[in-house]
Amino acid sequence: MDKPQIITHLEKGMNHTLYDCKWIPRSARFVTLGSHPRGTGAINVFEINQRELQLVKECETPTSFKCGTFAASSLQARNLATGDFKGKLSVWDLENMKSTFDVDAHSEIINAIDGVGGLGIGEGAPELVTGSRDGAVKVWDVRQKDAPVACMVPEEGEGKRDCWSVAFGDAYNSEERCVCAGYDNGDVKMFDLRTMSLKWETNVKNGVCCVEFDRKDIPKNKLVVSSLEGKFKVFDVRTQHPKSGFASLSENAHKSTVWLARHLPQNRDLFMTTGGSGSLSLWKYEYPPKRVKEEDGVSKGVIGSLQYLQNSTISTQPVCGLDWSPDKLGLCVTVAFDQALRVLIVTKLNRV
Amino acid sequence: MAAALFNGTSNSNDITIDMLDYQYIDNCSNIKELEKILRALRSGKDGYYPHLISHCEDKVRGMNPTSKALRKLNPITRTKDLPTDEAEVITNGIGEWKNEIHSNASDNQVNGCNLPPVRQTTTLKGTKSTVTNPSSKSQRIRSYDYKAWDKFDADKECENAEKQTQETPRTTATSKMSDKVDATGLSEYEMLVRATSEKDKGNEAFKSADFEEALTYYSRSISLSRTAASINNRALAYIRLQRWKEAESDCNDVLQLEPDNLKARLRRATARKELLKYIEAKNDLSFVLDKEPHNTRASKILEEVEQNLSKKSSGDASQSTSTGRKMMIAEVSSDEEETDPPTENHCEIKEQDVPDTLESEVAPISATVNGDGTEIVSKDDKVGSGNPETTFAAEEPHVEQPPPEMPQSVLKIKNSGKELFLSGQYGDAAQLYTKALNTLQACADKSPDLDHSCNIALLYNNRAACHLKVGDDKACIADCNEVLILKGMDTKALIRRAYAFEHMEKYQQAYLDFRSAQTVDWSIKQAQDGANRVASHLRDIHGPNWKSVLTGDRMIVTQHQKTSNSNQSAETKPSAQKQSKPDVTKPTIKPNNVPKQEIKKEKPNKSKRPQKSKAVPKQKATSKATGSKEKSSSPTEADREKKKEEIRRNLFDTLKNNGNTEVKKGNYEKAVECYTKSMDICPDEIASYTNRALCYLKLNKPVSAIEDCTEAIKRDPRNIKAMFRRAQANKNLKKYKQALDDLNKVLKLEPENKSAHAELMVVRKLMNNINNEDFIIKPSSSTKSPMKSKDAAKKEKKKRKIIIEDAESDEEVVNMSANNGKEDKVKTTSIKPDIISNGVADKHEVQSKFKDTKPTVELEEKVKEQVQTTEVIEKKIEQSEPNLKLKDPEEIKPTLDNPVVTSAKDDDILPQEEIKSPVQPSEDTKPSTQPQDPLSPTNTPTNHIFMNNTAPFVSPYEFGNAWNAVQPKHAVGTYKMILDRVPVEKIPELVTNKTTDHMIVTFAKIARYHLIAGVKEEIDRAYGILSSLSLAQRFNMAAMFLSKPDKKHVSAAIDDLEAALDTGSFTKSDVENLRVTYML
Repeated sequence: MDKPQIITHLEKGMNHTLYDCKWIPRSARFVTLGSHPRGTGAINVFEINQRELQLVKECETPTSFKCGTFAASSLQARNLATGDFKGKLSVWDLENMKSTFDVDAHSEIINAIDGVGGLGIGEGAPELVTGSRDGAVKVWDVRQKDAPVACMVPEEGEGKRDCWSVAFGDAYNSEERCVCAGYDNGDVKMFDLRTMSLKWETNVKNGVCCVEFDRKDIPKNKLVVSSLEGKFKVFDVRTQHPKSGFASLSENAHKSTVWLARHLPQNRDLFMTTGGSGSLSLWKYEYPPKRVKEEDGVSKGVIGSLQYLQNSTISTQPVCGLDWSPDKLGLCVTVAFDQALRVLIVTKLNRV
Repeated sequence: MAAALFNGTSNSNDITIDMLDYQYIDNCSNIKELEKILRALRSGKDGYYPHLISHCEDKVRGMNPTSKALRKLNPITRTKDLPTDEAEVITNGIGEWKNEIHSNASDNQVNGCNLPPVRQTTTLKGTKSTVTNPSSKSQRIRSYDYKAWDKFDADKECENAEKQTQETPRTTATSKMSDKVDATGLSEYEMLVRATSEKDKGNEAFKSADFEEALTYYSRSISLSRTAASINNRALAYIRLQRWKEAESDCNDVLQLEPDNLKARLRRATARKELLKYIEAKNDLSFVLDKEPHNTRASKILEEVEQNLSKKSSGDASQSTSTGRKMMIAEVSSDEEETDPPTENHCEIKEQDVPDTLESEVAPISATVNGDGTEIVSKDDKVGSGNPETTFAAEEPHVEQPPPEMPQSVLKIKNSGKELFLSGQYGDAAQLYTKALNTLQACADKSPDLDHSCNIALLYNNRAACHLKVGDDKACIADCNEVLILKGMDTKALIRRAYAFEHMEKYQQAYLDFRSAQTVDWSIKQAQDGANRVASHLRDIHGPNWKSVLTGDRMIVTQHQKTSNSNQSAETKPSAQKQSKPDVTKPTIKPNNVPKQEIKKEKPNKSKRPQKSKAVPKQKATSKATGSKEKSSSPTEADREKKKEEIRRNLFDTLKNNGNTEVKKGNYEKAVECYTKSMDICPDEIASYTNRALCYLKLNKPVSAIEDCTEAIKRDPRNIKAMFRRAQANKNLKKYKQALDDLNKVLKLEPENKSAHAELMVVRKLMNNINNEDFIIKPSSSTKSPMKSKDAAKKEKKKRKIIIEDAESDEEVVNMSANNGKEDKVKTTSIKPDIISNGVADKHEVQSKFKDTKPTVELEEKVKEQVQTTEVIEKKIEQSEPNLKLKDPEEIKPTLDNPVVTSAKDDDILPQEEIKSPVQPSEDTKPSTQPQDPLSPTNTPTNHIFMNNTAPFVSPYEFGNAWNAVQPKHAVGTYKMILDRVPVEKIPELVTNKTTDHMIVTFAKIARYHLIAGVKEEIDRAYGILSSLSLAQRFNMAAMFLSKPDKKHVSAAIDDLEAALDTGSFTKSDVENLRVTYML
């Protein structure tokens, strides 16, 4: 029985909708973001005690929150960056629940946010990236208040697509950095921030609910793209072939929308996907014997395989938020549309 | 018909109710259909049958354990649902973690200050910040859309397509990542956390085989926090990358931190072994074995180290270095052992693999002997990586369930053996199995009515698996043979034996075993893979006709049960056998002591192939030989014509192999016999002729050799070997013209052939000399002078390697002989002549003798002669006492203002040359009279040919040959003579891309000689030499690899140049530039 087990350790029902949850780094606390029934936003901070969850702080804001991240904040400050329903990007000091940075980043809801350069993850400047329904993907530096440092918007006249997900990657030195964005029509685009160019794009047929690199702070290695209709793809983004791009594999899971894919911070080859039916699946990527093959003098990536490690159905509603603890192996927090948050423990991850 | 059609579709698509049946499910072998049945059962449409569902699940699981149909959604598991102890563990774990993190949370109030600047793209905002979002896919024009096709401009599209392909994406460059992490502003705890995460990244990269990347991460981790684990891991990464020095120093660091770290010890031993520090490696290994006596890897390395050590101590410096070279390559796969034990065996193979030995003799033409060797090795490497875990991992579960009648006591031992096996302690497992076997045997003796043979076979089989894992191929084969005797065709045993054979590079046997396993059970994938793999090896070795080598053996596969009497026939045969293709001689073949072997074999062996190998020290080679012989014998029963042909071929091969072995051993007469017989059998095989010609050459029968060569050339007018040998023979007969003709032909066919070039030079030289010299000098070395006795021939092989090596090994020999003093005179001289006479072509000329005197006698004479001369020299050396201490040329640095030292340095070169000189039978050299002037031609007889010739070199070949021929490698005087024949401006052209660090150093030394003269031209030439060398190809590369002492030499030369600024016609900045180009 060396198989990992997904154990729901703590559960708590809330009186409002929860959209996202994040561990506060270097602590046993996490923060949830959501929306009160009357359309106001909610930030709650919880702390784990032995057998219960304790609400530490709570705050109601004018607009509902959709997403948040700590990834662009220093370990000392641990400020939470949030994106809300009206397109505002804010950075919060959770100690006194005041925002330190506010910008109207987008004209519509910010669907996704990601950060890099903070928490000791990724070289270079701390930056945030936001993706919104207005079709734009914008990169922000909190030291520059009024304007994004990079902006990827659709061309005039071209129909704009709803951007559902964004992710940073490839930040292994201070110059390199790339952003990957997924859209509602199944487009996945990878932008190189150093050269400000579109590096790669593909279409996965169904709306892209989540994109995530296995690690942000290494030369880009793997990318997981999850989509509607119960499918997700894993791309080996190490080797790009001039014609066929990145090698990939496709996997069916959850029999419903795959809402999220989240890599274990302690092991880049393990990740959890969450489904629209309240299920969680744990996967392990296994590398092929040789990751690169030569084809007509051009190297081409070779994809490995996925191992289905474990699953657990924790809810009847979609699980829309999941975050692994960066400090404790196997500890994660999830939120679902059943207005409940759960602290899970996945055992035996170090033995996989 | 409609019904039939309907039935057909319903069969493939639908699940009918009669399929929901135990029997149907049991018999169904279509996994897709089974999955459908399972789905139908689960749907509950036709009723709910829990037991049938689980039965079907089991069946699916048996066929495809990862089938998606087996995925079941698990309900939520809560902590409180768990058994209390597990729940406790989880709750407490979280509690502890919380406390820990709480205590660490307080200390992080430092501010990270040096953030990189804000991205500069702000200015681009509004204008260029829009990355175009082209529609995801270019619209494909539909076939019916004629209007669109009208607009379609094919040329333009082609251009576009080209443009796109030109924009090849940049592959990620890990090199850009810095090796250090900026740790400013981090608290100690943070640093530790960062270090751990970097180490994790390193581990991940290591797992995906990105060793370079892993190295970077480990270095980053170490830069944050020097933990033993990170350093240890980095050491392993270094080992994988074959950077032994770094690996060793890392291990040293680890051991400083944790003196008892066995892993580090083992890794250091591995690195040290590669660095040829055998004694230290041995110490490390014995330490490990002290603590963990059953560490198989440690004992394995120890064995290797001891082997090398004994080789080294036998004074055979060149040999040891040559093995060192090979092991480098071997180590690639042997490293994998740590994570992947099975590949261990490949390392062993490669070590035994001395592929060039016979090759170099049989085919003197191919100067690429060592190249060949490495090629073979690299092929093995492929096997090593080619059949990684998959095949072996698949084999693991082969440990069988005990049959019911096994006695309890045995069963117990066996099970614990199995456990050990599964946990990877193969050595211990093997011991337990042995114990079990003994017990069982005792039981069987007590109660003979019970048939334990099945159990015994099982135990043997399991032990074979252990042996295979450990890499004890011989034991594995022996065990497998036992199994095969007891059980007949057991596929597992066959496959295991095949693996063992494969590891031992006995691909023929391995192939046959794989094939036999396949004939028993076609579905065994291992057998199929193995057979394919081995077949590809055989193809590489034997060419497209490799099957003909086997055909004889294959019959054995089918007839193997009846072969009990075939041993007899095999024994009667050997002399009447014939073979083909001498060039393909396998490196490990040593069939010479075959007969003995076979007699032994007779006793118990009923199984088809050799197993008695243990009996004789040279097991591997001999067992191979016996194997092939046996094989070749059995088919004699067959009467069909075709088979006869095959048998012939087999016999021929055996004979030829025998011949080759005799050649190897130096018994040329016997070899001639073998080859003559083989000729009788297959008169059309050229190989016999060329090989016999070689023997004749060795036996100093050039006329016969020429006859054979002519015979061979008649059959194959393009046979390079034959031509080359005829040239040699002609040369020995002083028919230089004919020799030249042949050599020219060879070079026409193979312009790159180095030995032919060398030979050509020698012959030309001799043609020139013939008029003005009284006694004829016969070149040696690759020309295979006929008077070479068997040990001379052996030495020659080593010699060749020395050429590849740098100065070190030569020094060792030379110094040793110098230090040995009088007591060892004979030894000294016996070494010397070999080295010298076998030295690179043209360097030495030794008396040629055409009389048919026995070579040994000749040698003795020579030795006597030399003993006398050496004695003189020995005395000489003793007089000039300091010389002996000056082994290391670096110790002395001549300076212009210190003439004393200069002269001392001159002496430094002398001893070696003096020792050499006695070999010269010469009137024209006076070895010991002019010790003060090493540069005068008369005093460096070693390079006779070059001396006499003062014409400038025309081609890089000539220059390269001359340069490489110089022995010893630090005889600067000789080098200078060569260089003197080169105009400064032609240096880059002549050096071509052969620049080496040694060359740079030598050039620097030569430059200093020039400087000593103090004359303007000389000084200018010194500068010219250095500056024009820097223009040679690959100079930068070579300069990069200069070692510290090397650099000292070079910088000393440049310092001297600087000192001579006023006389020379170059400026100070020129000198400075020089310093820069030489990377000082």
